[in-house]
Amino acid sequence: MTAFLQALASGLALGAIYGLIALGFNITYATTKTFNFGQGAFLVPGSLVGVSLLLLAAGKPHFGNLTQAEMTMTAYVLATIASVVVVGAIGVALYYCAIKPFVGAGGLNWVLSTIGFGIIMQNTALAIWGPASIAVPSPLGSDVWRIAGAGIRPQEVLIAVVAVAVMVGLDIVLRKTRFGKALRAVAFNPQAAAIVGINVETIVILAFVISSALAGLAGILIAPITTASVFIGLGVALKAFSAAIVGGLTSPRGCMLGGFLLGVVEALVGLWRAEMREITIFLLIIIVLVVRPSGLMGARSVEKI
Amino acid sequence: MPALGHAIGVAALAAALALVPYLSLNDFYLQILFTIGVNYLAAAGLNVLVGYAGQKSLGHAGLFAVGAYTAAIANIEWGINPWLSLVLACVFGAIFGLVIAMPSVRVSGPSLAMVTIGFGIVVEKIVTEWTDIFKGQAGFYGISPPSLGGVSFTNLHWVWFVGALCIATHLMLRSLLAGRYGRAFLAVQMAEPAAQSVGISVVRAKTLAFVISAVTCALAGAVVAQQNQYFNSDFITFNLSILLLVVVIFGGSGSLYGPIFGAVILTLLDAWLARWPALQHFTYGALLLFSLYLMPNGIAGAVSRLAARWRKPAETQPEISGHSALAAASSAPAGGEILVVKDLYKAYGGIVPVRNVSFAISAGKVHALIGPNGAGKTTLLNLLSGHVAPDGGSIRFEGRETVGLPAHRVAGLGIARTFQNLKLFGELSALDNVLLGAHLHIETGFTASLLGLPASRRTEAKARADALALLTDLGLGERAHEPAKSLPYGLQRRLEIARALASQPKLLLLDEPAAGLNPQETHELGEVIRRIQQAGVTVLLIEHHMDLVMGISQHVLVLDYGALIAEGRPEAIRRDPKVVAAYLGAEEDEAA
Amino acid sequence: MSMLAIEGLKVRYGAVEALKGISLRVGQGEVVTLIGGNGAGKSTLMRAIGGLVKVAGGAIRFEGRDIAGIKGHECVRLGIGHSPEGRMVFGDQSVRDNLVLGAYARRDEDGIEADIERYFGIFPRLAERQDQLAGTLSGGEQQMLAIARALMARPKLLLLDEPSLGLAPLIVREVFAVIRRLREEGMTILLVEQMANQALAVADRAYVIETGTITLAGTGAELLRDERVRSAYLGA
Repeated sequence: MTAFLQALASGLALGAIYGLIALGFNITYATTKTFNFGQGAFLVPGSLVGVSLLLLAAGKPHFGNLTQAEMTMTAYVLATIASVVVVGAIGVALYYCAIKPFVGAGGLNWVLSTIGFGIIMQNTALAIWGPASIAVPSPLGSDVWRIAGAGIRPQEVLIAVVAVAVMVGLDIVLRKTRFGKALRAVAFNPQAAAIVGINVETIVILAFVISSALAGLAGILIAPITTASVFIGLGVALKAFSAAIVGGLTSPRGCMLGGFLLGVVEALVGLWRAEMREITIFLLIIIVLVVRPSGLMGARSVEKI
Repeated sequence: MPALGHAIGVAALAAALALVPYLSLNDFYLQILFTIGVNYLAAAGLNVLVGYAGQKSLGHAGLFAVGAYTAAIANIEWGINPWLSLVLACVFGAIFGLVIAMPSVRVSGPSLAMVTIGFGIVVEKIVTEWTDIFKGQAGFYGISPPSLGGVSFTNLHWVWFVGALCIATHLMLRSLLAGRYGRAFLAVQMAEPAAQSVGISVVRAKTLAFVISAVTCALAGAVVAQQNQYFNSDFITFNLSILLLVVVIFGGSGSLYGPIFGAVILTLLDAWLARWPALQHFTYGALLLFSLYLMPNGIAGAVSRLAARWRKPAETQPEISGHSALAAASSAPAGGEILVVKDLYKAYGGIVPVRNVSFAISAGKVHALIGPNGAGKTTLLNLLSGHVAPDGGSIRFEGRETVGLPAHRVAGLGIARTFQNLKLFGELSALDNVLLGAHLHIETGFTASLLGLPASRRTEAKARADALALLTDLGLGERAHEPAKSLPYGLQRRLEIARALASQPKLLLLDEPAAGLNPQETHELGEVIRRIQQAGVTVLLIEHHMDLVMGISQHVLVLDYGALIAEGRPEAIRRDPKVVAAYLGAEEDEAA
Repeated sequence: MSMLAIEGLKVRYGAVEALKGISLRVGQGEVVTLIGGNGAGKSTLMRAIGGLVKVAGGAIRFEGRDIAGIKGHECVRLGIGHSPEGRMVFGDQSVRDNLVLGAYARRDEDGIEADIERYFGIFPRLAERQDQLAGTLSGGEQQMLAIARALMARPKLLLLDEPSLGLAPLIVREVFAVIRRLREEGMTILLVEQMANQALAVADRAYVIETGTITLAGTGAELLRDERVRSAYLGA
């Protein structure tokens, strides 16, 4: 039972990460029918930029290790803000280099161009930080919290709290604010959006900024669990992509749900046989797609002849 | 490429391979030649899937693994002879190709990418984790290479063998793709609804493309395992899937020569950059990011654009004279009811474009379906052609219920159609468009087509002659070899009719054939429709051009707000106050 | 000076010349209608004025300024409201949010709220369904919403593209009652219609368009009596 609770907790934390990234996929897919296939590489500066700034502030080289004392909550918040801002800005570059030339052209050329952008980013990161992984302490310390007998890592709780807060916040923004309504209008019909005076390209760029910033946030949230390195991104982003597809790429709530679902399934299967995690998850996804090609909560598309 | 030039090219390649031993290349260079061959093999099939059928796969490393592990296990665990192992690898490749095709053909876009990625990762994890059978990272040692006359393959032999496989693969794919299968793949990629309208099963075409790509990819994997005599799970990564796709796309997808360019250039680049791993990765990233932008059709596309500047197209006239489908003698018995529609109903949310429509159409006549914009005419046509499924009602064609049949089956029964917004296969020549129309009547088997057997060539030549005769009949003969999209708009409209006629339909549905035509072209269209009627084909046309409708049709149906409001002879319809009101609005409102 | 003056406007879609040099004008406070059969180029003209298609030649002068080639979202800011062909309401958002989005170019919160209430008064059915998703409305209700949404931008010129498209005759009459009311309030309107009789009845002036060219022009009353209008639709 305690093992189950422990697995459930880490599954929810991991799922929150998948959900955050998946939500980013949803926002750009809704507005442009594209998203960043190389998103994994965006987690890397997400986890490393903020941490390196803290290291530099502490007078150490930028690829060193932080001590627990140096990682206060204030420091972590500042590092998070730095990461989110930097990665969000990279999103603008992504849009102009890899998306704009291909958007609306049909086909899947954007899949390859975004993968290419990601490879370049990852290797830039490799040149800056090297291949070694950097241990990042959690601002809440490393002592396990005992809840109902189960040992739960405080960073897992932090991840879940922050991620859920961001998700709820974004959900409200998308539904209630002027920007959110405009973004959904662009997603529904870009021409109709232009008709009411919405500058469609501005909204699309903002969508890529948000999507990238969410990946950056995911990167710094997950760093204390996985350690920060140039290679953490690919696996996480692939599962986030799976989460988005399973939940429904066209539905923000579907993407969040898909994230949690995937995280929990992964953790629980891992409890049974660790090596079966990926196999189970991807077989499950293939089955879901065969039954519901648009995902659990996605809108079915009607093709016009 | 003309046949003679192609034959010279293949012979030159074979000669170059024969000369390899005299170049006294060391193993490093032989290995590079071998790798080029393997990359070509894998990419050649993938090109059929990506470039012809238009399906992206990000999981072909999984199929590479199927081939490699089949070769390894067959030889080591089951003690099967290496030659037979290679055959077995192809068979297993085909089976797994079918397996991955089953979910893949049901989805598109990002979901398709997901399914193929998922397949690749599942295979990767299985061969890594299931160490009892697949030996994981430790891998299989001592996989026997094939031997000839008791002598095991040396590196030189491998180059020869892979070279021979490449040439054979190239020749077979060239033969296959030049015929009805290649056309069907391209049709599916360019316009699915139009492909269905000429009787192509989209699911079967995509599945076949998956299987072809799986076989060549598995063969490549098997060859690598045997040449290496060792294989472990580290070979199978997501990056391999990406690499294979890059070879196809960078080389030029949809061109027979694309994978050759891709394999040669990327393998050499890879070998040259191997000294600087960081630079190697940057180069891949930059290739992915910018090559599609600079060369949307890859190297092959850029090369053929250059070549087209000084090469004038050689137009070969067929030796046999063809038979135009338009000249067919009337075969259908005139007068009987060929199509009976009852209580047909279709709703999209709150909008009901077709509400309980019933009518009958008699054979051998020209029927017109008219009505104001938004009345539901195109939806009705889509229901008749099977492109959209109704929510209720029945459609009987020659006494047979067609509701529930997919569009390609409806086409097979003898209902052809055109589209309001032209759906030609734009990149293909006018002739190929018409040949696609005749798809169901070109009966060449897959194997005959793959091997280029004389029977399949004869059938193809006959079909070409017929298609050309039809094009000439419709005044398009001069432009038969031009890409459909480069024709003037009026001729594109006419080509779409030619494509539909090539399927030798009993009923032809025309969706606004005069839209965008000038008065002269509209007049000629009227003549064409009259000739179609004389050839015994029943016509149902949607049209707004009233002079045309009134001039050529014997029976007019009027649809307004999703319901049939009138039907009868053209003169009567024109005076019908209900029809006038539907078009011009009710007179009573004038006073208001 | 005309509010809108179009001179020699040409638009091409690939190989097709959809507009072959159209000239027309709309004066302040006028209701001008452009009638013609399907495929004549009516909606293309509207899309060109609204900045949704590329112009291949000619000028579109709005209040004296050539706006040919400016983007759709900028047209709204200049004072052109557009109720497009096919309505294009935001189906996944509520009726009220559709109206809020209609005022996207404005920043006066109080004024926006007042306008929403005003249009709920004119279109009581929209008021009843203000929290419903726009996609669930009937065709007629969606048309009312599209008009109200265009008006929310407080346009100087209203483009009404085929408001009767696919609607039942009774609903068509309601739509035209709304147009008449807007006309009485002094709104300048360019109306594209297939329903010639109704359109001509509300219009001050009218143009008939056939295959991308204007073939007839006159006052609404003149064209109502002109046999040539009828033959443009149902053949000579």
